[in-house]
Amino acid sequence: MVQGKDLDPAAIEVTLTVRLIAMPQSHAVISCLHANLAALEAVLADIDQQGIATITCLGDLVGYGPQPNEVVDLVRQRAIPTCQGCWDEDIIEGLNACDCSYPSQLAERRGHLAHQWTAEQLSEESKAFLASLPMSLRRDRLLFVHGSPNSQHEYLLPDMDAFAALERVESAGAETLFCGHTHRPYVRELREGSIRVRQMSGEPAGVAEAEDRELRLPLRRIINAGSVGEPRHGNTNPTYVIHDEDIGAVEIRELPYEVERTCSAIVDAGLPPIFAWRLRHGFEYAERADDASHVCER
Amino acid sequence: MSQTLLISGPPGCGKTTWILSQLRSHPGPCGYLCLAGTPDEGLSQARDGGIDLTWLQDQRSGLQDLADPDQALAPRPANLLALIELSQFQPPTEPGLAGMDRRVIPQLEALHLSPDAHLHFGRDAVLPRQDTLDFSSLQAWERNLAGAVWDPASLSSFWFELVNGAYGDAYRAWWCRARISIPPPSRSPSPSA
Repeated sequence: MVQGKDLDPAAIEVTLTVRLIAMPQSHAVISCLHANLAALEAVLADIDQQGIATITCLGDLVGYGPQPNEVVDLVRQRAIPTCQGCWDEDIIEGLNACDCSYPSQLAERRGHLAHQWTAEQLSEESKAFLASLPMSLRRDRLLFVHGSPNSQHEYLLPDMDAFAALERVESAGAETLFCGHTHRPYVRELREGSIRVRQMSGEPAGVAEAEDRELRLPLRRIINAGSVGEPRHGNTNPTYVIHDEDIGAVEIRELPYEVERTCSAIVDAGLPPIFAWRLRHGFEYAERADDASHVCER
Repeated sequence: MSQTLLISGPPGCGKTTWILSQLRSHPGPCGYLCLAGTPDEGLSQARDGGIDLTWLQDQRSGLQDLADPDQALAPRPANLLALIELSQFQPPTEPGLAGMDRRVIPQLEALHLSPDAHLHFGRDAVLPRQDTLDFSSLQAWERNLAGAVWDPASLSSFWFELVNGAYGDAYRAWWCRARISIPPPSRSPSPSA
């Protein structure tokens, strides 16, 4: 019960009514946790504070960060439906990606270091959990993936060719595609998409007749949740999204967390101190590949 | 007429920058020597590691290394401008050459160098205004990468981190230009007709 002589009771009532109607259909999407426990705890606390019960995780629970088991445990404890990220896949199947995944030999070496450290730290239980994660999750016309419906390693960048972006959503049979992997949150609306099909008919000896058919596609959306554990959008704050299925509203939320707690844990764990420096300054642990659209096919 | 100048001042005051400006404006031959300085001023001295000479030689073609013993014995050109750099935290106690740190004289004599003048940053008005940072200690870090191969993208990342303080406060950092020799491709035999 909210009390206060300066508050307008009518205003409170309106606010509460809106929340009561909107909240049941709101769900949160988190991605790219990267073994950053402090960031994950801050994000989950923020989600709880808003009374949102449904959370979906888009993978990359581990990699680079200092608390892989703790993060896996917390996701399991909260029973958060999760799909498998590229790091989750690599850590249980071994590094399959070739050099093309890294923009430099230095980044590659750091990536391998982080991979080796994480593989040594992860308990068999955690590995089994990561191995059990599905490539994608579907809820009605909502599809949840880590990178793209094609691969956990494919980046769906906000400036990706519109046709290619539409193809990824449409061919997966989704209205709204939730993804992560880029570590930069965004909402992209694909409006007025259409596919034109030319159908040829006619007798072999006769004149072929062409019939053009145009299929209008309804609005499609790509929603990128950004990253909880390794933000790459310009500062150190974790990001995630809240989506309201009923009214289609999307909120990209960004909040501070105890970044120094994670930085200390990185150093204490014996991981390269440069990881802590980069995280503290809002830089990715190892730079992203120059050609982000490239998908390693090894 | 040749001229030999001893330029002293605290690290970071602009000695090398001023020296470069003199080297660029001098039309004749030029020489350079960097003296290590003395460690007993209460502050640790950073080792130069030859980086100043390397940089100046890159910026001023034909710059002689005055520390080269072969050149020390060779007759010097009449219009040579010889500039000697010395890191020195404390200001000289006397003006002109009389204020020169006596301990560097043996080094200079061994190289047959005798300064015509001694200029100290913060004392002599001919030099630019002193712009020294308040150093309490200095460290020089160097690593010999001979035989190591670094891809440009890795160097670029490392440089970004270095100048942004990832490895400590960096006051001066330079690339060393690498000389790379790539053997010419072997000539393949002409295809037969």
